Formats: sequence, C-alpha cells, structure tokens
Amino acid sequence: MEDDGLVLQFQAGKHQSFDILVERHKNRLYYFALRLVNDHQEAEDLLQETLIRAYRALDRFRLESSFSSWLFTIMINHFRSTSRKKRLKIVMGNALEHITDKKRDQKIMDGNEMQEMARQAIEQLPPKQKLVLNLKVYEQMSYREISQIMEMSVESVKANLSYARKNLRKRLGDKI
Amino acid sequence: MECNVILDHLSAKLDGELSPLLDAMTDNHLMNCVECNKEWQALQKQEQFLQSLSWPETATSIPSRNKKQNIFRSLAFPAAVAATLAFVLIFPWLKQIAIPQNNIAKKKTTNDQKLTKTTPNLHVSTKETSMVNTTMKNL
Repeated sequence: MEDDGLVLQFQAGKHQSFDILVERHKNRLYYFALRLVNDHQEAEDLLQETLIRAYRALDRFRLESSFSSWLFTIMINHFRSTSRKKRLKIVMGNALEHITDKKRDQKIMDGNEMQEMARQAIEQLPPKQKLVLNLKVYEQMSYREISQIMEMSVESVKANLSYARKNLRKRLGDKI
Repeated sequence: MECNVILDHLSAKLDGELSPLLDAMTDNHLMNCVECNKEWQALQKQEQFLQSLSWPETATSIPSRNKKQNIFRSLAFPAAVAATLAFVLIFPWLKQIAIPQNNIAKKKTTNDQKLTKTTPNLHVSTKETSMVNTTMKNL
C-alpha cells in the first residue's frame, strides 16, 4: 500500500499503519540526520523526536505533499530550532577548529582523515547551507522539492547550495 | 558574462538546474576562461568526493531502540501528568460534594433522632446518606 493510503488508514483510527510508515522511512531519515549532526546519538535523538512529532501531528496531515517530504520538513524544523540553541557552541567550536585545521594541514592526511575532515566541514556549515547540501547531494532532491521542504524560494536554494559548496572548497581546498 | 557571475552559476550547473540558454553561455565561458574552468573542475571533483563520503555505521546501522515503544513511553509521561492534574482538580470538588452531605447527614441524624418516633421513613434516608458517604470515602 502507498504511503497516502496508510496515512488515511491511520487517520481513520488504524494506528498500526504508523509502524509500516516508520519502517519504510526510518533508514533514510536516520542517515539524513546523521549527516546533519555527525553523531550517532544525536542522530538517533533527532529521528526519535521527528517520529514522535509526526505521530502526534499525523491526524492533521492533509496530504498536500508526500509523506516523506512532510517527515523531512518535521526533522528540518526540529533541527533548525535545536541549531539555534547550539549556535553559540558552534561559533566557539569553529574558533577552535581553525587552530586544529592548521595543525592538520601540516601533515599528510590519509583517506580516513580526509573523510573525517570533510564530515566536520559539512557539519560546521551554517544550518541552511548544510540542509540544502544534504538534501541535494545525498537525497538527490530537485531544487523545487528542496524549496518546498525548506519553505524557501528556488533562488534561495540555489544560492545556499552555491555558498555551501564554496565554503567547503575554502575548508577542504585542494586536499581532495 | 563576467567570471564572478559564472562562478555563482557553477553549483546549479553541477545539479543540472540551469536553463538551457544559461547552461550554453556558461559552457562557452568555461571554454575560454582558464581560471573558471579550473574552478569548475575542482567543484566537480569535490562533488564526487562528497558523494563518495560515508558516515561511520553503528553496529546495527539503525537505532537499536524500539521507536513505537519510545513514542508511547514519551506519550505516557504527559498522560500521567494530565491524570494527576485531573485528580488534583477533581478531588477537592468531590470533597466539596462529600462534606455538605456529611453535614446534612449529621443534621439529619440529629433531626431523625427527634423524628424517628413519628416518621420512621427518615431513618432509611439517613442510612442511604451514610452509604453515599462510605462510597465517597472509598473513592
């Protein structure tokens, strides 16, 4: 059965349908969360909170977008609100990161270190840039889909993606 | 087109989101500008690297916790709070109902004692009141 059918079943009172929906989408959501926070525990928490919010709000979901897009929107909104709280922490982290970056540049990096550096570089992007980059590169969504999920214009998606890639170029440089 | 304009379009070109006209204009510029072409090559390389990037997996890949269980566990707390609040709010109200009946019962008992000789039915009424009181106490 399609997602929409399961949503309607849930709204009609068959709450077990939610289990099937979760089973279908949890992997994709989990890895999306992991790429945003680069930490398994935080990714798990983000997923849990998303599913809880989805469960509570599913009765009010009017199927105006796909169920998966709706789940991404919930996760992104929660991620944004928690990111705001962590902003100061991130700024402090960035200051320290520049110091460690310089140290790192002084030695030849192996593949694993490169990957770790890239993951950290993505993690430290501003939230909007990080989100659009993940939705584009890893979820392979179109600009239009991203604009709907992020509730922003297509032009804004384009600009944020461009900034994200430029920022990564600055951080990763020619090490790739 | 100027280089800075082209550089702004490279990301969208990478995603195939440029209009055919803009795409052709960008291609034309890239063929004639070494610096922008170098940036375009680097951006493509970076994109390939980003796509190949993996995130360390956990032992079970996916969170080991049971989602549904967690959802209901997290819903259980607000439900418990709501139930406690409801009890706290309703209990004084129940008491208010119970206390006047107690008072009535006491008054009636006094009156009944006076009236028992003439009106025996009132004695039954006192028993009913005390039964209600006992039920309230049990609540």
